[in-house]
Amino acid sequence: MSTSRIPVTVITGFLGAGKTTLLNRILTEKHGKRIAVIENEFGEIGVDNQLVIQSDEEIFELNNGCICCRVRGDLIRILAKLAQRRDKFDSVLIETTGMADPGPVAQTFFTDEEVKESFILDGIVTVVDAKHVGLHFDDTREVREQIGFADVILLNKEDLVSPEEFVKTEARIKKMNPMAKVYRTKDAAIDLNKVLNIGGFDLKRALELEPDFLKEVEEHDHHHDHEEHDHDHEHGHEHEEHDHHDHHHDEDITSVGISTPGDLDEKKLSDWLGTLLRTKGQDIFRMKGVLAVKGRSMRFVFQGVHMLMDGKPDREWGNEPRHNTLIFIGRNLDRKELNEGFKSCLA
Amino acid sequence: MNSKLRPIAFKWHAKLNDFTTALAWSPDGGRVAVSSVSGQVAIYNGENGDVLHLIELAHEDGCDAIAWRPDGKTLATAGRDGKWKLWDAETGKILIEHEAGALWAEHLAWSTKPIGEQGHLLAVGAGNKVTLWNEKGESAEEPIKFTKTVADVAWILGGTTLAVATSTEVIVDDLVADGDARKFVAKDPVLKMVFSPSGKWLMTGNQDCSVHVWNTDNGTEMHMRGYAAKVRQLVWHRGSRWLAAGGGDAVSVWDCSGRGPEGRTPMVLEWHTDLISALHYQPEGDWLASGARDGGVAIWSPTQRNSQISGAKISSGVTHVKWSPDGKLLAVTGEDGEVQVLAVE
Repeated sequence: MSTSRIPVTVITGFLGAGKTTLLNRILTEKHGKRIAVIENEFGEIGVDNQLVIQSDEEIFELNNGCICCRVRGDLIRILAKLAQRRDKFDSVLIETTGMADPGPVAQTFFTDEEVKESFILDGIVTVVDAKHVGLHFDDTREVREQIGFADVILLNKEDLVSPEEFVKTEARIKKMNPMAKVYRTKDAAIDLNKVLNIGGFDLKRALELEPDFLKEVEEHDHHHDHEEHDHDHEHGHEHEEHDHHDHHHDEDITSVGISTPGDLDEKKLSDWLGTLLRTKGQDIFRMKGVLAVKGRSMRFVFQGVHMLMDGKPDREWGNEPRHNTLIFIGRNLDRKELNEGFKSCLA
Repeated sequence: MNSKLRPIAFKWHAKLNDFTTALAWSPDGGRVAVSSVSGQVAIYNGENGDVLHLIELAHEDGCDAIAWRPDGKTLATAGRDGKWKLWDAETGKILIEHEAGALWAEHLAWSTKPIGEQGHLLAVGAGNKVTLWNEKGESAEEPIKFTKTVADVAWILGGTTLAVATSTEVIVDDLVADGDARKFVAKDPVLKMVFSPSGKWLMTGNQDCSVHVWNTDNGTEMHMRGYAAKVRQLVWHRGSRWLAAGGGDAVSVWDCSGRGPEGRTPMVLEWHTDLISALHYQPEGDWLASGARDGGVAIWSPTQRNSQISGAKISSGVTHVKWSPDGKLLAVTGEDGEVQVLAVE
């Protein structure tokens, strides 16, 4: 496979959140890069000397009825044409509609052989309107999905909300997706290095966000313990802060982090993961992890979207304590079942 | 490999500076036009390869389609600047240019017969629109708008019936006779559309590695699944019996006589070692040419016992193969801009 694959950044976000503002920022900044933009059919940006192609969302299933094999035919067609040029583009940006499901967009880059040959999905950037996100959270499944899939979340329009409101929204987003980097922005102003070439699906960088991410995982486990066992003061306090709606939707799209020392049995792990992806793959948006497998001196890193998983040994454990860290983000995830299932794989 | 393959004579070659996007022999067979993704359009003498015209930038960001007007006097081109242009093939000068209605104008087709006073009509596909133009390049009809991006455009039957495929349907409209357009609903995302010369069979090659078949006489449909790759190449033998398809490293040739291909096993032509990227039957003969991404070019007589006639290689993946109208010369173009014209000895 070619090493010079063109990185692709997917920009999602609800209508009016600031996707187009971000896109224009990226295109007009003097970075000297040749960027091709694939814009949804409702898009309307016009920047000189930039290639902006419109596409309509054409989703099809590679295998009948399997949601995990849903890919975007329009993207496959357009990318095939872009790949023909010798002086290829430095990068491709895909702006989705506010109602788009990021799943088929991401899956296109893992299932289509021709797309894989020339392009690599670099990251999913979700622009969130800090002012109105509360409303969209409640009635728009797509907004929650787009947050769940994201590598980077721009909490935009920070100037339009009170600091308290802002902190609340940020906390809620982090609970849904602790893996993503969340940045506060005004007019989608952000250092482009934070949204481009971030290696969101790169195994080598699978857990580059480790410190942050681990902290979130631990917080989750903490919450979990409280919810399960003792309804103490802290938990009650949580309820005071969040209204009923919040609570309901946080249960819809959520993350489950697992952090456990020890070695895993390879056979048990492979059986468990295989069954999990087969039966629950539809509900798992993203997953990432580092695993310690018994008898293997190297760390095993993996990442995936829905049913599609990519994994490989990355480096020696050396003197580091052998430890398993993984995260699932998705819909209606069963925290208890995932934890117990994973722990049953320990050797 | 078959040792009895007949040798290939390379007649001439030329080179454009990037991926070749279209290849077309002039109707009289005297010239070959080739376009590239860099925007070049070249017209060569078909016999010896002399460059008659080289337009360096016919279309900003690339030329995607070329089509000779049936009288061979003008050449239409379309490209990624959203325009289509008409060129005088004699002088190489531009005659006219128009916006096609979307950023990428990707499809061109001249009606094979004149339509009333308009003469031959040119159909231009861009985005989800098809526009129709007369021989002089004037707008002939209101643009036809579809719900999805146009995937393929062709004139079928007597040459006055327009067929347009989008990713979800095929619309067939006789522009001479009255009556409503016929619509065929395709569930699979369409890449390529072909009608048998008889008009009986409509087939689409699809992104989901399948071929969808309609018997337009009685409306029955069938699906041929299990191809290894997307089916971008579908070509008919002039007799309307044999259909050749890509969709993998092998070419499959289906017998469509009688009730059609359902329940039959295709002939499988194996020689290439990478995906088939081009197919063409001799306009008046029985030989089939195939090209693949590994640069291989093969010539077959599919119904014969030792079906492969010849084989050759070009310097990069094959993008197009086209027989001259008399079937004596085969033009082959490549991903690196290579243009080769060869003949079987």
